[in-house]
Amino acid sequence: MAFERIDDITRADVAFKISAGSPGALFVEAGAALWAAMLEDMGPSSGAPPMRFELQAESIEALLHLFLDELLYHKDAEGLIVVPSAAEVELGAADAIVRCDALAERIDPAVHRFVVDVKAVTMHRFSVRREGGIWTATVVFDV
Amino acid sequence: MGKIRESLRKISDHCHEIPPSSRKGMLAPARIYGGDALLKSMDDAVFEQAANVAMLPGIQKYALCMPDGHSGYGFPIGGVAAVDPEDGGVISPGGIGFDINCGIRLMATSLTLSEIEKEIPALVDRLFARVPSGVGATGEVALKGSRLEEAMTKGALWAVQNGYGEPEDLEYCEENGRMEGADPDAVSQRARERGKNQIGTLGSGNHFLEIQVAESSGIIDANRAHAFGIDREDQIMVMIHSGSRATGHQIATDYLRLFLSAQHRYGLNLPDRELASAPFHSDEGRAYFGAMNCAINIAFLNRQLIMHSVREVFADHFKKSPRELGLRLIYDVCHNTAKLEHHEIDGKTRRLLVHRKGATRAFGPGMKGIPGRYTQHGQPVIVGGSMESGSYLCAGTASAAGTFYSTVHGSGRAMSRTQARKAFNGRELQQSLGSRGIHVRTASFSGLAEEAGGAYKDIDAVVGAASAAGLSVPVARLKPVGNVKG
Repeated sequence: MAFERIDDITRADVAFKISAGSPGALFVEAGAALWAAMLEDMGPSSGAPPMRFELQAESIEALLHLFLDELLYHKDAEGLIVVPSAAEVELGAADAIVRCDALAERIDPAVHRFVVDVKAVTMHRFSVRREGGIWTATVVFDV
Repeated sequence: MGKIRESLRKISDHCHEIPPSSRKGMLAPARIYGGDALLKSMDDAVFEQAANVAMLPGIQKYALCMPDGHSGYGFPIGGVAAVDPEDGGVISPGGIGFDINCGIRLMATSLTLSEIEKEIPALVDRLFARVPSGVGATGEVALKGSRLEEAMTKGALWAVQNGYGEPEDLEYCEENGRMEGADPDAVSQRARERGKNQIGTLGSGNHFLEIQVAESSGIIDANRAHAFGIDREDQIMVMIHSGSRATGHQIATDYLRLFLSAQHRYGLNLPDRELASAPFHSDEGRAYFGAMNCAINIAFLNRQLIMHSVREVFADHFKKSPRELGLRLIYDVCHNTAKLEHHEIDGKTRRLLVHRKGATRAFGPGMKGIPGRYTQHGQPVIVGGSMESGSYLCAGTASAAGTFYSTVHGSGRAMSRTQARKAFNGRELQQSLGSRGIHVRTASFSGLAEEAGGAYKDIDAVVGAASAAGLSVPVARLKPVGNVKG
């Protein structure tokens, strides 16, 4: 559905409230929020190649944290902007799994206009909730 | 006004205390330094977080917040806490921060403003071209495998041994640029991979590389200024603010996750997940301490490599050697660390783990750990301000025992990033600064707007409050004339 910046949580960093109709859509929106925190202009798409990854954690909260951390990993280790396009989240009794399709574009300073770098996904007020059929998450990125 | 703020009790004009009775679980009082105006400018979360820090097992004397404090995660920025490892003391990644050993180094030159004023725009351009900054920038030295492990244990020494600096540089770094106790085996492959291309890069956000001038009107303590290396009118200085890059960020993330899952086994139930902790003497605590020390060393190495690039740019530009240009390191300080130090508690010297998050160690005159030529003057303390307001060189004092010899680290944010971007325009700011003799190059104009001087507290007030509280003394005010913004 959407993500919006929240200005009263942090002075030095960037916070978002994210909402979506399904856990998978929530993960896609959270990925979009992460890149919105860093990039003011994605630049023209250069036909980024697709990629697919799967992650598992003990809860949906832990899974979203790991998922966003995975995007940071690709940014720093491989110089890739990995933008999730679709995600499927499977919630089990003792774990949660996400299978994500994404586009992976190589960072090009001539094309991508970055504002700041996100260093980490904090646990500060970090939450994933389901309220009235809507999934919401609060995420604070350390920049 | 938040409830916890209302419980503040005045200790002095520059120190207020939250008594332990204010919140269930506090094991010590929390002391917030700063005068009334600075306290008023602090967000309520500062007081909540300081009270939470006072709940850490093994805490000694007080949870502390320095005058530049603002809200953080777990600890406030400006937070200091000393725990006794032999008294059940814990280590918490939230007391150090994600950018482990984010810090500042200050170099002197033998140049003066009148000699190079016309060269500054070109010099800033060359520094911007040479020192990688912004997102996706990669350093000249890619480290992996055994070379990375060696660098993680040697820090700035690795740089010097590989031709990136002089042996003398090491003497003028906190811990001589090499933290003991680094354990590469405790660093995940993920952390190694994330940071492998970023060593020798500035980063973004509030990281910067700045050309400054020590004007004679800005010299506050001439004796100390001379001892630290400010020995001529309008002397040119260079300041570098950066940290452990993605290696440190991932180490902090890895251990935050581990501690969150492990802390219940140790009966720890702290009120904020960002305060996740483990006993210092536990497998998890020891592993984090070893990994954190690796990140401390990577940050020392990072700043050393950047300084080496600065020396090469100056040498090439002025066609003189770095030695002829007097490019000497005054000091390198850490802002985000936990270190084992000896402090006196109730008349007895004890070995404590001192967490400093957005705070600077400030050893007083005569204390061990200060370079010989500075011994009688106290440790240099470098306080980074905004590119508009300027920065300070200060010194540690004998009167800072109450904060475990800790003081301020910067001016502290007064505005959120979004507020700053609404209030300032990056391109206009660059032009305005240029017209005032401050030449700025940046990887991002929006990022520049977020770092505008107006987004920060008044650095004069912050440094003045630290001085009034006896935490450090100002030595010289440093005026920016050129800035490379990450």
